[in-house]
Amino acid sequence: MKVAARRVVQLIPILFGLSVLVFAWARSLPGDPAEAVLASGKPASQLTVSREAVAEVRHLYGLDRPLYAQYGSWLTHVARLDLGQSITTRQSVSGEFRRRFPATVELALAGLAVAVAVGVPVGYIAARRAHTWVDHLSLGGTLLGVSIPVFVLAFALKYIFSVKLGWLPSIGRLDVTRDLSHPTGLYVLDAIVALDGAALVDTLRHLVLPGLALGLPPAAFIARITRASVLDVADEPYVHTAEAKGLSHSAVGRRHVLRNALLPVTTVVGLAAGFLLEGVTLVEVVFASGGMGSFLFQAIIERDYPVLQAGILYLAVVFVVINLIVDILYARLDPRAQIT
Amino acid sequence: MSLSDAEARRVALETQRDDHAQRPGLVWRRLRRSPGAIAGAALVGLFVAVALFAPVLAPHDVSRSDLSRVRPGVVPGPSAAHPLGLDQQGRDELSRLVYGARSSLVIGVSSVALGALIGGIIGSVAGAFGGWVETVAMRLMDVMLAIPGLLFAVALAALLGPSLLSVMIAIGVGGVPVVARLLRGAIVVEREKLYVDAARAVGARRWRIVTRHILPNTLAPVLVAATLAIGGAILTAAGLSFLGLGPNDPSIPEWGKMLAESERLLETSPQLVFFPGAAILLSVLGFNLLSDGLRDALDPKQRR
Repeated sequence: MKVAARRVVQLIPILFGLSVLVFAWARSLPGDPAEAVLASGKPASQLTVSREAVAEVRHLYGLDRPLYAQYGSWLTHVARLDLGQSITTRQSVSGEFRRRFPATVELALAGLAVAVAVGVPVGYIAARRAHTWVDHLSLGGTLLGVSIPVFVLAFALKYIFSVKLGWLPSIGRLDVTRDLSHPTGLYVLDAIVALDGAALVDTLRHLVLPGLALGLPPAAFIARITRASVLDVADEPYVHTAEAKGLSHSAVGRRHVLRNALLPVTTVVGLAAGFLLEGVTLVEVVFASGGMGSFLFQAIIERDYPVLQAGILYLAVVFVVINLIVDILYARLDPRAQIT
Repeated sequence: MSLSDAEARRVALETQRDDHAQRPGLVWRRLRRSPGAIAGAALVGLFVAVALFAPVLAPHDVSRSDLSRVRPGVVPGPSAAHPLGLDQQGRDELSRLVYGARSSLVIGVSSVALGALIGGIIGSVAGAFGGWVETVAMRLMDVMLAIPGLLFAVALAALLGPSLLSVMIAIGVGGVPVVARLLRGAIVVEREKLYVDAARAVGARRWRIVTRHILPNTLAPVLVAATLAIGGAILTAAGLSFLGLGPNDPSIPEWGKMLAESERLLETSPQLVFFPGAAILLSVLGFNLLSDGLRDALDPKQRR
């Protein structure tokens, strides 16, 4: 528990630095926010605004106060999860995030499941059959996996399995004709809660392609680390002891090699989290899944900076927290881990 | 993607284990014997050659569009005059792909150079001076690493506006903390070694020890990381353009942008999505293979 407490304390300067960075970034974006407020919703021909009006709006939004005061009030708003409103939709950003976040969580979890379920076995088998054709095949596959852009993989899967073969749906999270109440926003969970088998199958079918597109590149990454880790462990004296006392190859593998080899793999899952958070944006755009990613994409296109600012801060905090959890988990799993 | 300090130190240690094994001649011979490294070098060579000789290789003008041959939903495929067909605006696809290699090469190399330069300075200063300088610099790097790479690039590119230069800066600055941590980790290992004591004993100044003695000994891990980072930079650049933050100028073809522009045509003209996709894949694959080969050649003990 001491490790966990120290880790949490170490988080404070990082979060502080992060907030300063994001605030500074938002304030240096091109365009005067006051003029943007006055100009929004008007046709381009009426874009002239009087100097007095600008000054008035600046005062109204506190833009004439010193920077540190602006930062302070911004931070208190952010801490209360008040992230301002979108310039284009006039909706509260945090409300929109709350509505969309479950879709992103669901897709990211699907991606993580694919990454671990494919990456660990592939890496393990490749290491146990090192230097055979199995190993070479997996090496080729993992090289492709780490080299392909997520969205190209997404388009390839969409084209093959949706456009050409017609096996799986290509966009959305649920068939448009299907009616499913979604209290949690995680459609898989909602379908289970509602005991709606057909909806469950439907939403899972919508999740397959995005999940594969998002999960396969980090799976390649995890497979490479797993392979190296298994090979490291396979040379340890305790493995030779286990072999010498007559345990079968597979029993040694499962009980002695894999368990110890998985330790470093846990840290890689933390790295994979960064990959998943980046990739989810791109994959959501390809499959129109309506999560945080497609919202941010919209914000980029429309230069909707409040949304972009909140989104980047939000995802960075999520990323930091995931890494914290991974660190603590690692310390739990491996008492030798010295965290400084 | 972040490298933890321990990991950076491990990378540094492993690539440094045997100084003798790093003689250029030996490294070169090992590199030539590795099929992966040769394939990687061939792909990278092809990519660089296409980028350099784009004006000679491109059969047509990248901006000239033949709108008479393109109707909604109908994009002509390969023909004798246009080996890869036309794009949705009636421009020659092959020429645009060829010039796209230029954008990718420029972005990849210059952003990695920028990141290596700034990150290298921060990492060496931190490693050389230690103390509070090191603490402040490294905590700052932690803050930058708290933002996932693509989002960091998105934020910077939004700030700088849509141009080739801003993509380069956005990706380059994103690489700063990675290089800084890697280099600092390597320096922390090196500065305990005997030759540093020897240099100190003859009266060399701290900064001179770092620049003349320690830095040359940390080049191997930085070289491996830089090769890998060029591939990563090309991937991130493609992602940025795909999200609409790439170079805005239509006369600069860029693979990620080409892909994004023809996304709607996936069902009718999938080649317009998959040609640039394959170009990105092959160039990144080349740098990844070359980086793996370099790592193995610089440290044969690691090789499995």
